[in-house]
Amino acid sequence: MTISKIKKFHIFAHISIKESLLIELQKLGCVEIINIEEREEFHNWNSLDDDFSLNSPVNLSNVKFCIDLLSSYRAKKSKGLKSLLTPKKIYSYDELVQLEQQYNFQELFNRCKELDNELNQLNLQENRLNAAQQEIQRWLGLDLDLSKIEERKYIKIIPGSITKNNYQNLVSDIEQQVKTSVIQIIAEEKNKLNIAIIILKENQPKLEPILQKYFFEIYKYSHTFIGTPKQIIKTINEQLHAITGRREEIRQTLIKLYSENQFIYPLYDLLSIKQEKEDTKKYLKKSAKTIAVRGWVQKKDIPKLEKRLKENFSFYDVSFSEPKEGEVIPIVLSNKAMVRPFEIITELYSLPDYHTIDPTPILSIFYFVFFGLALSDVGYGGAMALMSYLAMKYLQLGKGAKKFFNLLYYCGIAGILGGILLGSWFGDILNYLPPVFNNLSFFLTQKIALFNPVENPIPLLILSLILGVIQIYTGILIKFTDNVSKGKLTDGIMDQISWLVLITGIILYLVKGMLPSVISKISGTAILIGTISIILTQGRAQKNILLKIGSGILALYGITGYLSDFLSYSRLFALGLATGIIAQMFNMLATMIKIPYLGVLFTLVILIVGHTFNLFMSGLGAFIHDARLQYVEFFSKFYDAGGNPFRPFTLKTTYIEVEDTSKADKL
Amino acid sequence: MSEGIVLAYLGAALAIGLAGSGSAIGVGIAGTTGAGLMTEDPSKFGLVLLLQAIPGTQGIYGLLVGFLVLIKIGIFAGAPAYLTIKQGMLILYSCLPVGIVGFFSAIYQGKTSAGSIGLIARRPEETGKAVVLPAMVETYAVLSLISSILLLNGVEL
Repeated sequence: MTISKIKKFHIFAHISIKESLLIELQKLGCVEIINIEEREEFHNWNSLDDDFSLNSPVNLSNVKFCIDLLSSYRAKKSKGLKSLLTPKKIYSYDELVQLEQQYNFQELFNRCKELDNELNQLNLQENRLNAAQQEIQRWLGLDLDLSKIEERKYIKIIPGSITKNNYQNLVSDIEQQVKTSVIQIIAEEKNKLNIAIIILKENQPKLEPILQKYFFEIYKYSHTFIGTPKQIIKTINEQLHAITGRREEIRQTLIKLYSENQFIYPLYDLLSIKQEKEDTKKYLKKSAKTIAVRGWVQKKDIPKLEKRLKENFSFYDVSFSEPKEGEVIPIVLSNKAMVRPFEIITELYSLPDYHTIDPTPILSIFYFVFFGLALSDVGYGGAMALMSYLAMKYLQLGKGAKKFFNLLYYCGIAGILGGILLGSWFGDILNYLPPVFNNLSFFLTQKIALFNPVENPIPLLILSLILGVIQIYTGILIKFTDNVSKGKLTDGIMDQISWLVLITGIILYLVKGMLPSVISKISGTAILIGTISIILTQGRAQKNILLKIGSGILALYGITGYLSDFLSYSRLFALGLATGIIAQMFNMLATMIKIPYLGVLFTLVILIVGHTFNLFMSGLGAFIHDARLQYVEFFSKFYDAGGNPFRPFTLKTTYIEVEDTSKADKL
Repeated sequence: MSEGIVLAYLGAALAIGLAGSGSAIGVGIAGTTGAGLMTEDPSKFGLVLLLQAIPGTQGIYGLLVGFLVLIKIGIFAGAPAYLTIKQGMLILYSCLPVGIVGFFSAIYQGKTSAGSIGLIARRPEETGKAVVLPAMVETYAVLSLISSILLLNGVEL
């Protein structure tokens, strides 16, 4: 059993220590607080919903706003890698709390808000100016004050645009009907002309029908700028310049604010810790003088919890109980260090049910072997192991990421072993070495390697299938032992052993050619026994005797399921072969280039790009197909999924790390 | 150059061309959905890329078989083998599984990947299951690859 034992804890405490109790539990970080259901014993207890105390302006969303604004203006954009390389700052909980009082966030927030508003205003204004500039640019040739165009006493100036096709007709119509007029082309656009028509005011009624006839669009000047278009453009440019200047000023201010106010990061984390605490309060119950807290704790953490309570409080009572039947118990997997990274694979599928077994230890062996076969290249495995090793060593990673790289590290090692087995070193790169190394490459690819799938694929295919048989037998046997340990021996024999007998019989029958003749007799008997027992037992849930037999016979159809499960493992062979051949292909392409001097460069580029690509694709394929074999073929034989992860009530942070001071005190 | 080699070339071309086209379509389908998801949540780029890459494998399988054909008929060795029409036909037929199955499975795998991308958009905790669904489709591409390799291996020159 590698599923951690879980107990339920019940704490009753005086209401005066409510806050400090929660803070201590949060700092301890090993309990999950759960809701106290309405039941007899708590029927006149109240929930603490009315207690929320986070209405201050120093709240999460405001701090987040400042962080987002300021960090986008940080002086130099530090690269993602750099932030991965620098460790997070560590604060103690008490330091954090002091920090909140030390700094005036309200002032910073107001300042940020102000600057942000101004920036938005500037953007709006800039857009408006740009639009106006574009519009007025089209009338640049008109040497008149646009704002005063309507104010002429005797003449009327009408600027507007018309399609080129209509222009000539318009001109001739005006000349014929309006007579006194000046028509000037201001600018020419794609298929339009911007023109200005100047007439005597009294002639205006005559002009209007003509304008309508030719779809003349009158240009209405609607801006407040005064002057000729040239002057206006100049004004606009000046204003735009001023905006750019002001924006740069704001940028500098924000950069300064950013470097002066680093405290917002720990502040954000402190507030989210507090928020978490407030959110947890809804699970508690209170009476006039007492609060009740209930939740889960790992059995191994119980002494820690008891000690912490004893050290800090006196008005409390804590007790522990076994989880009851039917309760949803959270799951913590606790495997040995070697196996732990493979918990990721189990977790990706789903955690096990509390009362069943954790498949991780046995899965880790299969996953390792299968990955090795599927990747099966010394070069790729080595690259993967090396990179994940470096990542673990030099990057500042969270727990989850570290675990993942650790898994990749193991997978890389598996790949190396698989590669040695198949004689694949970056494909066949050893063949391209100078003749001096002939002995070495012969030794590595011919002597040590057990398989040469390109020349004879069958042995590797058979190995893949044998591995499949082993895994599926393991799965069935796990289920059998599980049944036995739960006292359901007969179920185990009927549901698992009968299938095992039948499958073994069929497999022996298929390979009987290679085995002594006595085996074929055994296989026949096994098939017979297996078939009969399945027909007799698989319908036992039915009441009617005919239905019993009928369902039994129908259950035999399940044999196709097992056969397709076995065949599914042939993918290991295909993936293993694919890695080597694609690598070989890139090697060949790279060495085909025969340009003097520059050719070496091309060769290198092809090798690097090609092998990186192949490493990525093969790694991805190995990862996914390996996982699929575990989930679909292996887990389906025995695994009860559906556990919920244990979610401890703890100090969750984003930007910094918080240390539980009371631990540090003791050190 | 012998007549059989023409057929072997056709086989290699079909394996690479059909499976590659299927992968291109499949990766395209998954990519469109992925881009849609990333407009909402760009931080899922890694996962989306992973799911988008899955239908890409058929193209690789096709390339692999095509490459095996070229090795087999000695193109890279510089001296193409003498192939009768019958041998050429056999090689051509060996290429068909990976070409045909690769083409169709990649398209449907692309659709499944797109669906899985939709799944992780709403329930990121179900990544494991989201990755397994397209891998179910992959089974048939793998089987066709194995068939092609075995068939090709059986052709005697």
